[in-house]
Amino acid sequence: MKTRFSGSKIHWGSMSSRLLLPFIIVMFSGLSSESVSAELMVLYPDVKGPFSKVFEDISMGAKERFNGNTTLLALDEKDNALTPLDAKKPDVVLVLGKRSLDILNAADNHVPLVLGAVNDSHFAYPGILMIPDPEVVLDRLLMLAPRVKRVHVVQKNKGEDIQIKGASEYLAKRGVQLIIDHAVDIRDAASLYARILDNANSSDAVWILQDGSYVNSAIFSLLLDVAWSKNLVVFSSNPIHVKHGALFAVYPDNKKMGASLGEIANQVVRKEAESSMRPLRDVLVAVNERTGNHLGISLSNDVRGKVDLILPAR
Amino acid sequence: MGGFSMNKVVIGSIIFSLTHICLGDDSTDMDLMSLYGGEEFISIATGITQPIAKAPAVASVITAEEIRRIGARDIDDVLETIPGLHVARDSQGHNPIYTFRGIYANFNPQVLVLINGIPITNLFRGDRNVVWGGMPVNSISKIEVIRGPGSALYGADAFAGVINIVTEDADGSEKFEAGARYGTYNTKEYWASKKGLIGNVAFYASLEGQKTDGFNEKIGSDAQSVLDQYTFTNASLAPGSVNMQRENYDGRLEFAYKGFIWRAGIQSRNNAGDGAGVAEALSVDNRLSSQRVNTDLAYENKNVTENLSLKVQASYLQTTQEVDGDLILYPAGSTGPFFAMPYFPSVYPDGVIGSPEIYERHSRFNVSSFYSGLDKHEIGFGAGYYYGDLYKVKESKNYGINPETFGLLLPGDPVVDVSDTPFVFMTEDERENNYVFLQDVWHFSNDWELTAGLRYDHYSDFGDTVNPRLALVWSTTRNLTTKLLYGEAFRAPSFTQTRAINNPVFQGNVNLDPEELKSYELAFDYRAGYNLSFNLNAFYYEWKDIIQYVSAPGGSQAQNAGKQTGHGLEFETRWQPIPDLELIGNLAWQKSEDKNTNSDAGNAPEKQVYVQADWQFMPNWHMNVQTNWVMDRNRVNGDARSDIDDYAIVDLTLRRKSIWENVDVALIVKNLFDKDAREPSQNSDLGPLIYDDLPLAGQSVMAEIRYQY
Repeated sequence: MKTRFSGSKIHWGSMSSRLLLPFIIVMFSGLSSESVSAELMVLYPDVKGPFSKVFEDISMGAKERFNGNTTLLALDEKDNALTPLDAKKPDVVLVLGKRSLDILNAADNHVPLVLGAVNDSHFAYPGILMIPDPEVVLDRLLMLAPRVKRVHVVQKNKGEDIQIKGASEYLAKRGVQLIIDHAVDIRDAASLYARILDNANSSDAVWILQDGSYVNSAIFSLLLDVAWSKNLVVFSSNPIHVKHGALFAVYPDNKKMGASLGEIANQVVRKEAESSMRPLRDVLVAVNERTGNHLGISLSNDVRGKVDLILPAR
Repeated sequence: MGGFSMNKVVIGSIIFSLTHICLGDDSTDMDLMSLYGGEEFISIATGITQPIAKAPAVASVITAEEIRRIGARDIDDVLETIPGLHVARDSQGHNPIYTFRGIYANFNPQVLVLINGIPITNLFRGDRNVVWGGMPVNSISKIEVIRGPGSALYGADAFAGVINIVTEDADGSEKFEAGARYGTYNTKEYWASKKGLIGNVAFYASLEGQKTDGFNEKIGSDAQSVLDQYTFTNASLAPGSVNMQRENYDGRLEFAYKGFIWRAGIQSRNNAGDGAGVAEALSVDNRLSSQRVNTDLAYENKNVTENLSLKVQASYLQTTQEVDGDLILYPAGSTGPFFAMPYFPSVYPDGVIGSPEIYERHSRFNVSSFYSGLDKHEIGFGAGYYYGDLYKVKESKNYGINPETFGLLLPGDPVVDVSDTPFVFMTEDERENNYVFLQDVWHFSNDWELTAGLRYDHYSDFGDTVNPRLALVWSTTRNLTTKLLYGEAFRAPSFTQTRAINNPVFQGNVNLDPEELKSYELAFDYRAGYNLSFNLNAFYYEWKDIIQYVSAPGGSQAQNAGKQTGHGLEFETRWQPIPDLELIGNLAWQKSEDKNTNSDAGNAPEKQVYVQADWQFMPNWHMNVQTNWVMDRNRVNGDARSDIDDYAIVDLTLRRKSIWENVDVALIVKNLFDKDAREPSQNSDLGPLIYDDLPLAGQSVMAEIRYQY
């Protein structure tokens, strides 16, 4: 993923930007008077590297896909989003991150928006969550470890959870059973993991959800120890777990996700977008080679071609 | 590890004792942190950094971030932190002697130093240039160090260890950085770098500069002090300061397009002092320079076919060793080392002058390929050609034979140019090397991997050598990896050892064989938890055919005379008890023996302890403290001096990030307590010429400012 960030980045809070603003307005208003194409403004938080690269990649993906002009705008905490919106009068705003959304909402915004780079599924906007679609995760599981027949997951709360929505049905179609346990606290979760692991064999897999499934580092270490001795697959939606010994995890393909957000922005312009967040389908896969070797999972070239990042054996 | 039984005690302890993955914070950073599990992975996931793959060897990788943390300004600051590696010093130019595991020689040709995988070894002495002048770190992305031999992969001189300096690359991302430092010894440093895209071509460019008066620690006596005793002269400038000023420029340029990478670089060393003297005699005015330029073109295709990758690289390196004005070997009023000759006791009114200059070219072409089409095997193979040409030797001097008159140059005679005459200090010559290598990584069982490699080298001047290696890597438990390693290595004789002539003290020997090494290692890598890891290794080596100067008719001659064995242990640990604090420690112990005299090999530290604490004590405020203890350096056999004093040097770096937008500032204090630390000087037939050893820099303070976006 070698991309270039070349959008017109404006730090709204800085004095120099304020001085430049009239020129920018004149420049862009001149363009827009001659152009009938749609306008997208991408608002993203002004954060330092390496975090900034995430937003830059998403923004670039959106800019490339959106049918029209795109302006990128990095907001720091003190910025008021309304000023640039008034100046630019975009047809749609792509808002990245919860902080940017808060700034925009505080500004009494009336421009239709698309939301990205958040992991709270309760927002009623068209957009994409940073939470991976369970089908995408489980598809990678069965590609890497087709021997798995049972998948165990400990869920924090009962009720609908976008992290596992539709997972049972998807796995059932592939002849795999999903066993969901609910834990009310970390103590409860520890007991549940103990029970799962006591009865597990090499056709079982344990799925750690993005919010950790109550897994902290010590529980995770014990879980991995038993998984190692029993040849169980442990997989996760959090890539840090791969570094410590989970077989694989998925993480966002930011550029592709940006393109998908750009497409949703196109739909908003056409007034075809649904006001709901959908889970992330544009993902990359990281695999722990040492764990893969131990489990006898041969990273054939065919499989390697579908894996984006291999954390090498020590 | 059989069944899983977590009783309530265990459950209780894990609940209350643990670091939780941070969730639920409103800030955008924390959203991303929880999603990716940490800043380190964000960098990897966004392609800013690559995951580190270690060779099946005892290896260390130090990243740019780690280099910055310790306030390192030269690669030697970084290399000193690696267990089992100590940077000793040579009297000439204070050049580094990268001493791995007790393997010590004053020109240090037993260590292979690579920049971006390409050797920078010089033919003349087998080192990195007589006028090395250090190497700045501002454009380095990481330094990879392999302790132990690597000739099966890297060929000649990958002997005691391999140091690969990897510079920032043209990865297509956009980045600009500029910075400056100013501090003690009137030291000024600056650098700027930019990477980005021009159309579809990624580029990286950097420029670094340094100008310093150099540290001014003193030596009490020198080679001239010894001569003064024999000749009743009073010429020595000792006690006096070492001569450490220099002016350096480093530039790097890289363009990448599809599978092609073109790089060019320059390392310019100017107005460089000669340390404690070229002949271990102080002089004030000696100035040397070295111009080193390199370029290489590489093409890499990871998918030539589904199972085959290919890398082709051609490279060129040109180096010089130059003298500005005259190089004074012994100061004005000295008789030089000719006091036994008939014209004793005449003295050289301008000193004994000998200004040797060396010009070299090195061309390399390599092809390597990896094939993974066989189940459980990854096969690597390759071949290469090297042509090295020491194409120009220049010398002017005021002693020896005058090539115009064939008479002896006597004290008071002018300096004459002896270049291209039979009376120059060494002959111009060239060297060719062809090689092939084969390697197989065999995953013969789920937790077992065997790497077997073999490399055949043919040299135009000393013949053939075959070097194997074996590495057995066992994933013993989830946390523990065990490695058993065997390797052989060779060190090519340098041209000064084979072709030196007209030197009143040392003569070369064209019949030299390469030095050889066999090494056995057992290594453990244990990850005790999320944030705690341990590494331990034990090693044994046999080093034979060591090239030493032994008495022969007409002076000493280089011969494959020495033999040394060594064994030891290295231990390292990293611990991050809380997110804002990281502790690193290592301990190295070695015992090496000169088998000819059955005595301690000497010079290298037998014990070394290193501790580093890196602490973010307030948001954006970082403090790094490191201490390096160097202990138990024995004298070589026949050196009557008492053992050199141990030392502990403490460094402190205080950094304020984002003091203004995109601007960081730092204060770097090296040798905080101004410890008088010394590295061993050499012994000689007349006893040690610099009796009180070679001083390291005292306390220095540097202020740094850095801008990046």
